[in-house]
Amino acid sequence: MPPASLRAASLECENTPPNSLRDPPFSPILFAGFLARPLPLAPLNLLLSKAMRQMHARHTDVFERMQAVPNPAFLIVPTDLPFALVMRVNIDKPTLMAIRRTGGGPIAARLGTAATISGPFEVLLALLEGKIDGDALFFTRALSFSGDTEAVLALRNAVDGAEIDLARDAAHLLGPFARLAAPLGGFLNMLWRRSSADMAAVAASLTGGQQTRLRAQEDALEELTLKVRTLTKRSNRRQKQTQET
Amino acid sequence: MQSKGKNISLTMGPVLFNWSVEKWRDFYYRIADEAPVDHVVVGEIVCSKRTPFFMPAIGDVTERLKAAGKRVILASPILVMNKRERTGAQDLFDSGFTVEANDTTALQNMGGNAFTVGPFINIYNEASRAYFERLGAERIALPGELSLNSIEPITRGAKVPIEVFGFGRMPLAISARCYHARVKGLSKDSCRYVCANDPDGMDVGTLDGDDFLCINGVQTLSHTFHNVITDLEALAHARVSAIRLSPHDMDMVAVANIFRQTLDGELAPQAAAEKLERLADGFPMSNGFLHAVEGFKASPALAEFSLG
Amino acid sequence: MPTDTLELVCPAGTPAAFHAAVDAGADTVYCGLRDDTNARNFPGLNFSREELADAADYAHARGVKILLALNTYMRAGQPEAWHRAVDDAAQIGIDALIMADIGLLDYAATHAPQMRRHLSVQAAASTPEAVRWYAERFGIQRVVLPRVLTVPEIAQLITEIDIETEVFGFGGLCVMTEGRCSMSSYATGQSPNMNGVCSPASHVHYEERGSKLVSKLGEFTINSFKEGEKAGYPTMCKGRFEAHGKVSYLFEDPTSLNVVSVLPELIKAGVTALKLEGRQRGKAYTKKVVSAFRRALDTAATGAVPHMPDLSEVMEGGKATAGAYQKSWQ
Repeated sequence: MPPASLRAASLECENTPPNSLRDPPFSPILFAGFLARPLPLAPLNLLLSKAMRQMHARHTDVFERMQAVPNPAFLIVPTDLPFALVMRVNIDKPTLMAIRRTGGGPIAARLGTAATISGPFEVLLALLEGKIDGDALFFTRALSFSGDTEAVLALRNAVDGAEIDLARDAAHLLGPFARLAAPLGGFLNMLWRRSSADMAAVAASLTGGQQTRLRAQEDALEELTLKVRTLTKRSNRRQKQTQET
Repeated sequence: MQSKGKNISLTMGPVLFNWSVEKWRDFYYRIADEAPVDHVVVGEIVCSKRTPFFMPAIGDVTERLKAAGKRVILASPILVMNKRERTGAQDLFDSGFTVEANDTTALQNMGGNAFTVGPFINIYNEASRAYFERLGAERIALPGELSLNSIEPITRGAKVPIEVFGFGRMPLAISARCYHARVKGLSKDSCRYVCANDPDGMDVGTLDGDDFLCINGVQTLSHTFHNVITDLEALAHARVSAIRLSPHDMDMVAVANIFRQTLDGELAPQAAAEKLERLADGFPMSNGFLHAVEGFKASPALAEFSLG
Repeated sequence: MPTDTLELVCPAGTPAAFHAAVDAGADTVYCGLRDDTNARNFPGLNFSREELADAADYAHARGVKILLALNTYMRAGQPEAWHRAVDDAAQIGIDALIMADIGLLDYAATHAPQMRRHLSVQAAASTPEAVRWYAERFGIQRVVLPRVLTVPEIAQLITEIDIETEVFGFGGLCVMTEGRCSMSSYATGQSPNMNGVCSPASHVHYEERGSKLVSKLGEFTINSFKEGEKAGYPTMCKGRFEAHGKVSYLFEDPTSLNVVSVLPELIKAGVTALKLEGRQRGKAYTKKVVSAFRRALDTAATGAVPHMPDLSEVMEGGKATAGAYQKSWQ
């Protein structure tokens, strides 16, 4: 069980989803996500279950490294997709399932997950393959998480410790279709890289000003709250000391 | 308090803060004349730049302490880096006093001198304790972060007296960098001795306004006063031989008397805690290190008398 | 004996990072077991006995050395895990042990005398006298110098000792003297010396307040980052605090150590080995940093001034300092 303070924090995230969750990066994946919204999740879940079983078979060490974590259950939120993933990396029976994200964000408490990890889908995939350093992503704030920090760190270390190659694993998963999928993947990748830069520019021009103003207001409020709290604490302490003497 | 506490002696640790030479001298004179402590550790262990100021008084202080029947121990610096500090460690041993080594530099310089192991040499287990016994250490003071769970196996079978940190802000870290200078926008080399303005160290708070730490030049200490007054029975049971009191800008003779009376069974621990609380003038008390939890926390027995 | 290069000593927290380090040009890789016998006792990290043996084979087949960090202090009354680690390392064929605890050094010198012993930075041996004390008593062959000395102080020290020196070159930067810091223990009850963790993840949590990201260690707020501001590890010595009526990075900014600017001076001073920090980092970090330093050292060996690619994205706070190696840092 995580310490009480952490459990409290993970409940808190229900009401205040992380910034990155509120503001998906304006990317081609976001558009793909809009298109995917009406599709049923059942076929996806079938594929995800199979992927998890394969992962379990090919990368047992990941699950061994996670054994020290009492509740290795995570809510993974690709901020540019309309669904989230619930991943349980128990060594006996790991599961991976997609759930639909509704307006207020998914409910981590009801799902019983230990932590929530959010970031752009592409970043999450690169992390899975160990292509980018998780700490670096966090320093630059490309990735955010809430809940049990220890569980998140363990997952990061366990996944990074495995030599995961998504192209190879996907090829294995898709079987005979893999040969068709590989060049298609390359083409999509190139297309994505080209269009994502344009989209970021459009996004900035559309929403930049408004958001900056909103954030500035939030910050001012936050600063005031802190100031009041500090002053209250100081005056309490002074009162206490006066009573003592 | 059972009679076992009678066998525990008190040690006055070295002054950690930058006091004026007059204040420093008068403090030790009063300890010599009035405090029920057996050992007195003297010397600047935090910053070698401060040493020249009280060197003129050290002869008078050690004489007065000796005349009062105290065992005087000279302490070596915690962190030794430059030439001046290295030769200083050598000078200590030429003084003829027993030296408390706080760094292995001092150990290498000691030759055949009498020495004790200070709290800044890492003795975390019985194997290290035994090694220093074989080397001829006369006493061993344990690091402040050790809990009773660690202290007990270390004292088991010990041939020399084992001492634990008992009262005062707990030293937590030492650095090459001076934080007093840094906070005032000065460099260490031209620090203007700004640490002299804070006889108990400078308070450090969090962004939320919570009290947290304390800085003393290159040293960082706890905001809370580590206080084992409600743990004396457990420490006696763990065969601890001495309790170290760390000097603060308060009535340290009264502090020593309270500890002595409690050890002798003349004062109940809870009443003693209350008295110490009043002397400490608003600083919260803690003993978390001893109980293997967060160092800033206080056990229920102690918390009852702490402002927190 | 001064040479024209330095042995490149690289970190590995997992077998994948170990392979990455060897393949990227490490001369030596250091790692730890999956327990509290080492100072990166983080969840999901480190090596089982089997993984360690495989790593040793991988390294030795490529002419690379493997070191085992046993750099915590043995728990009082329970030295077994540390003793077993020494015995197993000897059997696996580890090239050297990195240790700080006097009781453990004594054990290794007695029970595995044939193994090389390196004095860990956690022992904080900062003077020739301190180094000689350990060398004479425990047959230490190399000392990892604490991050408190300037380059001229290191050069001076090397002329006064007979054993090899290793200095930190890149990565996490302890602001306090290593092995003598109880700050984490004060806030969390978990100590680097005893539990092998500083600011353990189990006590770290993050709160979003407005657009700010607030990091907390146990009950204490350590930092608050504005939107777009680079974040750092929630270690106490790199937090923002209030002192003397002023909020500042009192101890140190979130920053990483990078010695590339003083690399030629370190070589000239006669340093034997350059250590990169980061067993807790991912294999992408290992690959990137090890390759960069391999190239920098190879360039320095030709007498040219080494050029360093931009490593800012893997650095804490996105920036670097030469730390205590430069006098102005103090």
